[in-house]
Amino acid sequence: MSGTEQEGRICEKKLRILIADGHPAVRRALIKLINQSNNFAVCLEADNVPEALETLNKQHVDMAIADISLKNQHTGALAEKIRLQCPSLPVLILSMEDEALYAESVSVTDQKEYIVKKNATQKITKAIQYIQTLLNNRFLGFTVLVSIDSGTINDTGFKHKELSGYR
Amino acid sequence: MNEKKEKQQQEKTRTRILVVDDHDIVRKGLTLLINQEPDLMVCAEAENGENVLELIENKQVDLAIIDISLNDTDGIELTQKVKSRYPHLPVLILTMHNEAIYGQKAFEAGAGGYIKKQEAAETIITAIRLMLSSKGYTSVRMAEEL
Repeated sequence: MSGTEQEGRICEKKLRILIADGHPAVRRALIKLINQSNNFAVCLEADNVPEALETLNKQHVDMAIADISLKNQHTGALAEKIRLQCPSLPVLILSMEDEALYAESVSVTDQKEYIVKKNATQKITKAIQYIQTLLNNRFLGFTVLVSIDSGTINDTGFKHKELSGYR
Repeated sequence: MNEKKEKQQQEKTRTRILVVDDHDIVRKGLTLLINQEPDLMVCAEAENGENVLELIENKQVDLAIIDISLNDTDGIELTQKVKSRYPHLPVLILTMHNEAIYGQKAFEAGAGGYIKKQEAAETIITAIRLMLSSKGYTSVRMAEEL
């Protein structure tokens, strides 16, 4: 079996994740972190909105992790478009900026998760596990604002702003 | 020679790089990116400017990569401090900020290069190598402006 086939089979058994981030160093770190887990695998990556959407058209993913600002696009553009293209796909938003700067726009565009990159390495796996729990409980179309920046998290590490709709 | 000794020997010949960035995910990613090059290695990381001068001294740093936005200071100010104590140490500014706004200030502070985090991984490595060959690095657009 070739390396790619092997990776493909491993990927099949895990929660499949798309990483869309314009920073190659961040993508590299996220892939390394996430692939260490037994339950998740980064199967696809993109550094811009069209590439991410094209990828989603071709292959199934269980979750997307997206930078809030991708190349030449306004804040939250990818998540908005994913919402139109794949309405039930959970999107975990990452940002270089502090939560306060973007929380409002995230809420307005009805994003599902939000992380400040400052704490990403400690919290990313926990955040994905959290989304997995929501998926396992068949929550769809949920709107959760997650803050895992230090000082604003609650005991579970997540703060629900709103939770709306499930099937 | 056992594996450990071989690794130590390899490390002795690699160029030693300090990464200063307040985002741990960026530090981790840069470290992965740089350490896969056989002749480069990240020897130290810092999330703010507090211990940078000591790290440069103690870790025998050959090149510093500094972000502009740090928790306790800004990368331009830190570059000034670093260059005033270690004038021959190359400093590469790696940032998400637009070079039109900060590029000139970075060079005035003594940085030898300025590159955006959004650049491709290969471009970041090229910038590091150009810095080490004393040529410095700017994007084509910024070079034209300067």
